[in-house]
Amino acid sequence: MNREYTAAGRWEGRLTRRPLPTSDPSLDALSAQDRGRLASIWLGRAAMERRVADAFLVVRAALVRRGAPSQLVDLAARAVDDEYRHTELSRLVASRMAGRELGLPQRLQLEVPRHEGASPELRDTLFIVGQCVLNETTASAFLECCLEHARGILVKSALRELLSDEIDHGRIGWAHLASVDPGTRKEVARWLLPMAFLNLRVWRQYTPLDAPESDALSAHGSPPGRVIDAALVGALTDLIVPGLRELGMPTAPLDAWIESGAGTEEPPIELLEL
Amino acid sequence: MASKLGPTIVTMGIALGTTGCFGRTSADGDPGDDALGWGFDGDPDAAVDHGPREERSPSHPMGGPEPDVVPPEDTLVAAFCDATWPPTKGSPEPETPMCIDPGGECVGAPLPNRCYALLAEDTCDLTREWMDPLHCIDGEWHCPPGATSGWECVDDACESTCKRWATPDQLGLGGAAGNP
Repeated sequence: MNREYTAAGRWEGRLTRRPLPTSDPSLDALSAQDRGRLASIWLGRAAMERRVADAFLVVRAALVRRGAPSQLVDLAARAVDDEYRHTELSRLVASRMAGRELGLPQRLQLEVPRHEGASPELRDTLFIVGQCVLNETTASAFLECCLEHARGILVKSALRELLSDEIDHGRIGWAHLASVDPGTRKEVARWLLPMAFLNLRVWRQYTPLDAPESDALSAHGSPPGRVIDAALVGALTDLIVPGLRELGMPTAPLDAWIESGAGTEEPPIELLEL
Repeated sequence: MASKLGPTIVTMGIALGTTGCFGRTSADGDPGDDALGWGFDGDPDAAVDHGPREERSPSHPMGGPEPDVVPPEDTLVAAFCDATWPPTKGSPEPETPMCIDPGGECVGAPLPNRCYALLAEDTCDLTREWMDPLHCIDGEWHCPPGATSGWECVDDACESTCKRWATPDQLGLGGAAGNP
């Protein structure tokens, strides 16, 4: 297996802070169908984690260009390594679900937002805000939800490891946003509705409401779509919007969109005027 | 359930950006934090290296004048058609690769026609087809765990691996067992 994470990473080359359980009796009780389904889900997550490593390379470069504190740049560099570990951790969980060693999934292509019309400086900040304030904060809420419903000891252990790292990744964005001047924050605020809309929409594509659900899937890290969806919207209402307000950023368009149900079928263009 | 992560992510993140103060990710220690020299001794500039001031651009976030550029409305409308950062998690289906072959060992190998759910050894549920990715093992495509193509082929001779069919009970339909 081609190992990408290094000794310079968070745990000095170890995959996890604590060793994963070597066995999980609850896996033996699963049907072959549930095990196959869970293996597929976790292997898919491995592919997604690997793509996010590429995303953090972009974030790190943006922080460097913006002259961010070296500690913040280091944190973004470590996030790249974190995502390499997450890839392997998710592949490992998938293999345990499958009952045999699975190879790494094919790489997924990263498409970086264009933010056409933004200055290069603003685009950098929008990169950091989009990936960390929106995406990683949402990821933390997703993991919190999965952990709340998980019962298998292997998956609980893996989810805790993932969540502790994602918290750091979200902080990068909040720290950067807090460090910019109020004028820049005001500029960023204008872009937030389209960015939040697109981000929630893609999260919903990956966790559809009508995805198969069962107690077994919930117990091993994949709660029902409606439960996940509530967590995704909750990330906006409980974490992201309050944080933006704390930074003095206008949130009226976001508030109105969320108030109307945070729909992602049609872009809420009319709310841009608020 | 409302998220309990607000203080951990948002408040701590904002504190980091405004004061250079940084809290640990979790109460049980994070050697990486210390290695990176996070800390706060009362002087934000002592804890945070902002880099040489002359390298900051006029619109640098840590200094410079407040920008007053307001994007035109159609720019923001077009922003609804932009790409977004892809999620890190999910119960993925849309972009899950249909074939898992990182080494490219199965290029040109024949694909199984279908993958059926395997209920027990040699017992197939022909009412359920699997859509999960195929796995390349030793140069051959295999159905995902818990599924079977229903055939094992050696040279040109193919033998059914479905010795038994799922019973109505196994399918959750009740009634007497029966084979087609």
